[in-house]
Amino acid sequence: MSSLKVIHHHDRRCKYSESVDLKINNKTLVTPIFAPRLKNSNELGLYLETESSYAPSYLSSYVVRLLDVGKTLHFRLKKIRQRTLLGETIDPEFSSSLEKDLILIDPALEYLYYYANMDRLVHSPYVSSMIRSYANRFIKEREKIKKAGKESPIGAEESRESMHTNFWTCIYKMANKRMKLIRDTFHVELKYRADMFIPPVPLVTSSHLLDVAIFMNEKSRAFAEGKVECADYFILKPKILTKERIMAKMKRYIESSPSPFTILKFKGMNLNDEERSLERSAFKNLLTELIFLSQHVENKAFAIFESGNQTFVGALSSFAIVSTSFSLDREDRHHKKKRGPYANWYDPASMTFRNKETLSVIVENIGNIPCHCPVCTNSPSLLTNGYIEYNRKTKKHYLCCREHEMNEIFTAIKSQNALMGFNKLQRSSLKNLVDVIPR
Amino acid sequence: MVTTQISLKIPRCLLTSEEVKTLKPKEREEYVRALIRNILTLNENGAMVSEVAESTNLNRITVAKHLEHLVSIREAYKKERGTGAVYYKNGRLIHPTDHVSMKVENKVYDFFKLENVEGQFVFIQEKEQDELRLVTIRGGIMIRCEDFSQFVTGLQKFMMQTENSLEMRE
Repeated sequence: MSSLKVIHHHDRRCKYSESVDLKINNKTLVTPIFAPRLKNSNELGLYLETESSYAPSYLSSYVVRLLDVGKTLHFRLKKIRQRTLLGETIDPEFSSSLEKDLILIDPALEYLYYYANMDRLVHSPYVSSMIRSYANRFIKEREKIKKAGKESPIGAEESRESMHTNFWTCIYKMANKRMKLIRDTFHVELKYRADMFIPPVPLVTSSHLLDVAIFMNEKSRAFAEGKVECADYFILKPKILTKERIMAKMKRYIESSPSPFTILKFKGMNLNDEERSLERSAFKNLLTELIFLSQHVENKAFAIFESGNQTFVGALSSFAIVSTSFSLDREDRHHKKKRGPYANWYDPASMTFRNKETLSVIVENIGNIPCHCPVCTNSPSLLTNGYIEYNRKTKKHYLCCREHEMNEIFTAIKSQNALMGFNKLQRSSLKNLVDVIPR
Repeated sequence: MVTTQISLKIPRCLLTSEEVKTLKPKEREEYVRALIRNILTLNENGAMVSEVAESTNLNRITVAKHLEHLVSIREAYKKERGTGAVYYKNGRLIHPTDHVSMKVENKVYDFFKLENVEGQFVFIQEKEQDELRLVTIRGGIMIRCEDFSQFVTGLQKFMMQTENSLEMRE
């Protein structure tokens, strides 16, 4: 039976949005929650520092990819077992975070489809041995195709599609492999203190892979019964949004699933692009249906991972938890621009990133940093800092801005101010996302 | 001869017998126990050993063993009916907020306010957490709501009595 409880409050809902309390493992969280995706111990440290310095209310969760647990959580978890001579923990910040923050570990198996992290999968001790051997085969196959050049009977794209589909079909058909993948994934999630199981599912690129994802969700839920709460998880390519039959099937499953928590991840989605009008309208329909479910089904909540530009609009609509990285998940993109040592600064007004040069021009023009967050207020000389300090402050500033946005959404829901999100997006660089807000 | 059709509600997500075989013995035990607990929760009118065994393809002896274990830790209670027994979940949470947890080192004490056909009860459950935070239920006690203050007074009296006798012995 479900250990996650979604508690509704009548004074915290309006027609197209709601703020609920999520109760799980003795932790109570008020939504909307911004859960940054942390990729190393530095980012975890910054998160914990922000938490202890500014006591945010809506920054109460974080997401770590299974690939990154070694760099992120491993040493901190080892450290909290150590005690001082007085019996106190030597890492009180992290211990207190473990008590109150929701930790989610994302198996992130969409990387079985992309080449980007294949090398890391081969060497990662945290993923299942089946994943490691798949990644090995994938790399060898790719090298073979590259060597053969034009003489290769099969293209790289074709080979990738068939290898990915074959791997998941094999998991779908063979009980022992399926259970091994689920067991190995859950074991690492449990070991690294995840509050909820997230099942290993494929990137949905076709109707067949959606069937596999549904099947894996059901089997993972059965396996987790009586242990820890298990969420439903779907990783989709943004173009799937326009495939009506696939979307309808997924929505039907979400509606009837006994799982109280559903996580969606749209890989590399940016609905602010001019040409994405079809996807925008499909995403709006999805949001409308999810809002209906979260308000009318007794124990149901939703989260979106790698929300990127859709972070604000997601939290404003139906998602209890929105998660993205410090760079809006841009590090996974194919043609990433070469960046300098300085991180980009999140502009809370335009809701996009500015590089250091642009920020300098703005500061020259208006005389100060255009942000009222505690980090920027306390460091007026941010631009003169060396890149290490500059990046630290920029990231902390980003967390404070997201906290402020979540707070704004919470206040708007409480005061039934439906226009707040609309006006904020209209004034920002994400104007196109206004079409996504359910009205 | 009239045959009655089994109409037990069973969870939507079940492992097949082939999948259950791939589980480690401890995992299998945990899975079956959780499944049976789940079936009792879904069937407020109770369930018999034969019904559970038939609807889950589990061995009758295994089902009976787990149901008896649930009774022993007060997660369920049974009523004799003719030659068999019907097992019921100990009760339904009156309100989602009627549940409090208290953690003492690796032990967790859960307090629930439950309701069943026999009235309202305070249910205290003792659980133990292992290194991976997996919970094992060690035992439980059900106290009728109207008897609760009397129970607490009795408990306090007992504590005082044991402390007094300790002082006298010293």
